[in-house]
Amino acid sequence: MEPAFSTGDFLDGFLEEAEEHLQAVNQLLLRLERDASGRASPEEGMDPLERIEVIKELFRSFHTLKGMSGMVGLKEAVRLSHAAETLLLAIQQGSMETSPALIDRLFLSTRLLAMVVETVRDSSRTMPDIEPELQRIEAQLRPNVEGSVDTVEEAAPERQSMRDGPVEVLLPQLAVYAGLLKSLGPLEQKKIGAAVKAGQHFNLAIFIPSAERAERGENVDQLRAQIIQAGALIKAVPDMDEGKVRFLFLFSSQQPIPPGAISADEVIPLVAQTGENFLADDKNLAVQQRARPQSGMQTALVRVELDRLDEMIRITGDLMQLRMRLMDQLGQLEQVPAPLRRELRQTTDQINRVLRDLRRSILRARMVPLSETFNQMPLVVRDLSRASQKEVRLVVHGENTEVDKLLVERLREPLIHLVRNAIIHGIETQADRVEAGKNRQGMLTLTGIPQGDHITVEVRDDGRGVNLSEVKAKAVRLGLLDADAFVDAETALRLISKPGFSTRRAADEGSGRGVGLDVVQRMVRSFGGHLSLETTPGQGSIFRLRLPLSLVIMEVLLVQVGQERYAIPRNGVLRVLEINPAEIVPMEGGELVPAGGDYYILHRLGQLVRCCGNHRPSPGKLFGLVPDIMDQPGGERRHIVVVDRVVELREVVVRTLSDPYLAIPGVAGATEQSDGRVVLILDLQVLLRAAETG
Amino acid sequence: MLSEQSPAFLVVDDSAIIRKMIMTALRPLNPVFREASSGLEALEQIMLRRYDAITLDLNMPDIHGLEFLKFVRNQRTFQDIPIIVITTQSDDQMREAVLTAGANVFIAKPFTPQVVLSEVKALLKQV
Repeated sequence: MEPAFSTGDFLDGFLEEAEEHLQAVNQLLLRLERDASGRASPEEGMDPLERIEVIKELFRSFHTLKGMSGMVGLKEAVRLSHAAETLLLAIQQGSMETSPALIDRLFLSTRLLAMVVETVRDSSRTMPDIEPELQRIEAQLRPNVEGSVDTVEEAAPERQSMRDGPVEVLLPQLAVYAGLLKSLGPLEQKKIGAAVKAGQHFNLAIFIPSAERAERGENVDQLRAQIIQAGALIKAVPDMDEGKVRFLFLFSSQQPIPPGAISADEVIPLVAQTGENFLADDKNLAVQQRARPQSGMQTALVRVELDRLDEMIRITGDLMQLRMRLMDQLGQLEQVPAPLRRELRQTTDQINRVLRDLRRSILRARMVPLSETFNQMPLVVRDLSRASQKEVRLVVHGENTEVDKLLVERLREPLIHLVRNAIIHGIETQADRVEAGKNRQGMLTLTGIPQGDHITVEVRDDGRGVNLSEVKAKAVRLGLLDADAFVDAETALRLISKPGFSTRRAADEGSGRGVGLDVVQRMVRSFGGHLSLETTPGQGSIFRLRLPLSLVIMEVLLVQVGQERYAIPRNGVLRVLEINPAEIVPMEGGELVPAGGDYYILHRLGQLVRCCGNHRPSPGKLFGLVPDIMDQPGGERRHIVVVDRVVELREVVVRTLSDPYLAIPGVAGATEQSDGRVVLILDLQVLLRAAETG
Repeated sequence: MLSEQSPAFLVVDDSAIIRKMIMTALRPLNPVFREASSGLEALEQIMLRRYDAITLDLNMPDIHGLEFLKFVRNQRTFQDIPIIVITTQSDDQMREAVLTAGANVFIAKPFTPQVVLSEVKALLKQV
């Protein structure tokens, strides 16, 4: 199959959407698994209807993945999702049970599918071999083709009742709406039955679309969202009434729907007729009344590419610069009457405030809930607890805390490592736990705690804790510590964060795979965060990640002058030229240098930032940065800033120095290098202007 | 609202990236696009304005594409709108059902932009 479209154009969209579906699939599979293993708590348990819905949702996700993958010519993904579909279809048709083995199969196929999709993102990855997995799926399907007796029998009663007779009129008022009534199949019938038993209210919402409504932003999608918020949707159908299309929504709700609560034309409360026979033979339905999860909350959402927000932040930055210049120029005005001066000051103050608000609201737009990363942890925990044969319960708090999109993404790796660490090193084996008088099941808690402009993410386990004396002994042996040194949690963390430092003898599976605490430290530091440890022997450990809520990423040139390094925003530099020191022409009050057929006024960065005063420029080649100066009188771009060395071009997380408006002239912010050293980000324009005015 | 020269197309698919691909394929016709990600949303759209053609996915939330098709073809107002079904569910049975229900064209995913474009072009000429 040949890619039909030039894949590149759709790559980002494909990857984003595929990832969404893969995540949804994993979530649904986890729900199925909890349910199938009987480990579900009451609020997690599913009744048969929900299970059917989950299977349907899974099928739809795989189906969409199949369609999308076909479009980008990813035939391995097409075959895998098709195979998964086949398994789900078998469940839907009742020829297979949702056994743990089957759910495992689906998990593994999904993981493989994710790897296949990854090859699109990263072409250096080799395409995994999918044949063995396809064969295993095939094998799983085979016994059923031949008719495996016990599984079919088990599933039989439920399927039987699914096929039960014609639709019983439980809601007599619906007789008027023949179209809706006709569309109620056995599944909907079951949903109604379950809702009756749970003592829920029934409602019929009627919605007539119109241009006026559309203009007001009221549409069928919005109504559906409102209904899902208020209760459970049983069936939605289109209907024709006097030549006009209208939509009928049959839904149940815990509470009666107050007038005006949802934007339908009419909401008719329905009275359910409780046929006793109907209820009697319906033993399969677990009757549970439960609150609807808050995660169903719907808000109006628009997707924006992160780049566009960055662009907006950049523009805001430019505006801030202009404001400063305006203030300067106002200050130079002479003979301005005092009242006017006052007004001007007020206006510039206002501009200041508005800019601050603007910046804050743009940063706010980049915020997403922590759950984007937290939601992936159940899968990690599941795999690791299996691999290590430990029983681990994961509890998550504060997943609705909002942090910067980039942070959420970059948090994933360190978090996975800490979770892995907690399960492999922290939580004891079941036997050890029982012996220590602990619950057999280990407890792992992830918590997001907002604290002003920072957030703390805690990874807490109730395992054995970090053994400080063991860490110390090892450190002494390695010559990192004196034998009489005192080791507290902080010191221990510093020690175990050293590359290659491990108190475990053998490399455990999982923790031995590359990412060590040293890498966690480096990542956390690179976005201006801090890692700390609290540990109690025998009771467990808490790793705390303290991180800034918002991140601004900037592409910078890292340059060196003497021993000092500085970062210069990439978009402030037109080009970088090599300069031969021998060609520098001294002249009165400065230096000139020829380059590219032109003469440039030479500025040495060391002098601009008034540092490295006694630094002698290196004798070899120098590098000149031609700054992008838009407001140069006459539009000339005749300046060049010389440095010893251009180290690299890289993306860094910008940390504003306290208040962004209380700026040191020429210093736009700071960034931390992976070794923890702080590097200042310089604004060449401002530096040059300062140099000119003396 | 819509100019004479620009045809109005409704692109119905629950996958945003597939919608984008379909729109890319049809762009040479210089059309005005509306998108819908579910069957009900699509019905709402056709209530609100006239479309010169609809591309329709089958497997969607709310109502299946086939249900959409049947409903639309039952209403006199919408009987003549050209409908192009574009789906991964491309077995013969489904093709048969879709064409019987009144779709003008059936295209299996994965599709090439050329096929979509030429089918839609041909349909527009007929109308």
